[in-house]
Amino acid sequence: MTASDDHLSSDDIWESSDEEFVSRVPDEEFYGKKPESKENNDISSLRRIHAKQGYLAGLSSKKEETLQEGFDAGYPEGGELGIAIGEIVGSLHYFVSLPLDDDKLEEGRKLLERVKKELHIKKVLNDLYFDEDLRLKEGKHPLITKWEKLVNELLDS
Amino acid sequence: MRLTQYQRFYQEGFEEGQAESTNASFREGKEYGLQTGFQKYLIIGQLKGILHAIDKGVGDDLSPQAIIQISQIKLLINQIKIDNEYGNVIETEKILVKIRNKLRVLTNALPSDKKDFNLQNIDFMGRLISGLEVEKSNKPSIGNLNDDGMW
Repeated sequence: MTASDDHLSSDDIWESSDEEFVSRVPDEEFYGKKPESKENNDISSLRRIHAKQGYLAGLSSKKEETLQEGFDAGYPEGGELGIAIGEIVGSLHYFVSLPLDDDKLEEGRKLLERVKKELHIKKVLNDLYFDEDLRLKEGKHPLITKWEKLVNELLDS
Repeated sequence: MRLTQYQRFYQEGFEEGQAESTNASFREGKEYGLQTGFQKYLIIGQLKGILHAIDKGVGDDLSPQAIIQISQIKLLINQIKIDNEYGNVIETEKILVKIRNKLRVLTNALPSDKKDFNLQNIDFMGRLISGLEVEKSNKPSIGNLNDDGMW
C-alpha cells in the first residue's frame, strides 16, 4: 500500500457506492422540490414519504377553496346565459299561446320545438363555445345571437 | 421558525399539491356554477321574454289588471342581483317567490289560451330546457347531463 493509496477523498468516504446516491424515485412518483445534487437513498426515501403526505394534504386543502372560487365565477355567467336563453323561450312560448292566425302559430310552434332541442342546457353549456378556462370564445354565445334574431323576426312579422 | 428536514419535505409536497389542485378544481367549480346559475335564472329570462313579446305588441290589448302586474314584475326583476353573495342569494329567493306569484296572476290576465299558458307549463318548459325534465317521447335517449359534449 502506498501513501497515495492511504489517501481517501471525501468521495471515498461519502460515496462508497454510486448506486446508493442515485434516487430510485421515478419522476411520476416524485413530490416536492428536486434536489440539486445527488441524494442518499435513505434521504430520498424520507423525502418521498413526507413530500407525498404533504402533496396529498395540499391537494385537499386547496380543493374546497378553489371549487368555491370557480363556482362563484361561473354562477353569474350561467345566470346571464340562463336569462338570455329564457327570454327566447318565454317569447316563443307566449307567442304560440295567443289566438293568432294558423300560419303564424304553426311557424311559432315549429320554432319552439327546435328551441327545446337546440337551446337545451347541454347544447348551450358545451365545450364548442367555451375556451379551456370556460370563458365564451366569442363575446356573445352564438346560439343566443342566432335565436334572438329568429324570434324577433317572428314577433315583428 | 426553522423547519426540520421532514417538515421541509412535507411543505414542499404541500405547495406542489396546492398548485396542482387549483386549476382542475377551479374549472370543476366553474362548470357547476355555470350550470346552477343557468338553471336558477332561466325563469327570469322566460318572464322577460313574455314581457318582450308584449312590449312588441304581440297579442290583443291587455286588461288593466295585466298592465298593473307587468309594471310590478318589471320593478321586481330590476331588484334581482346575479351573484353568489349570501345576502343577495337570500334576497333573490324572496323576490323570485313574489315574481312567481305575480306571474301566476299575469298568465290569467293575458289574452292567451289559459290551458297551454300558465305557471305550471312555464315551469315545465324551463325544466325541459334546464335538463331537469325530459319529454316523454325523449325519455329513452336522454341520460346524464354530461353526455352530448356538455363540458
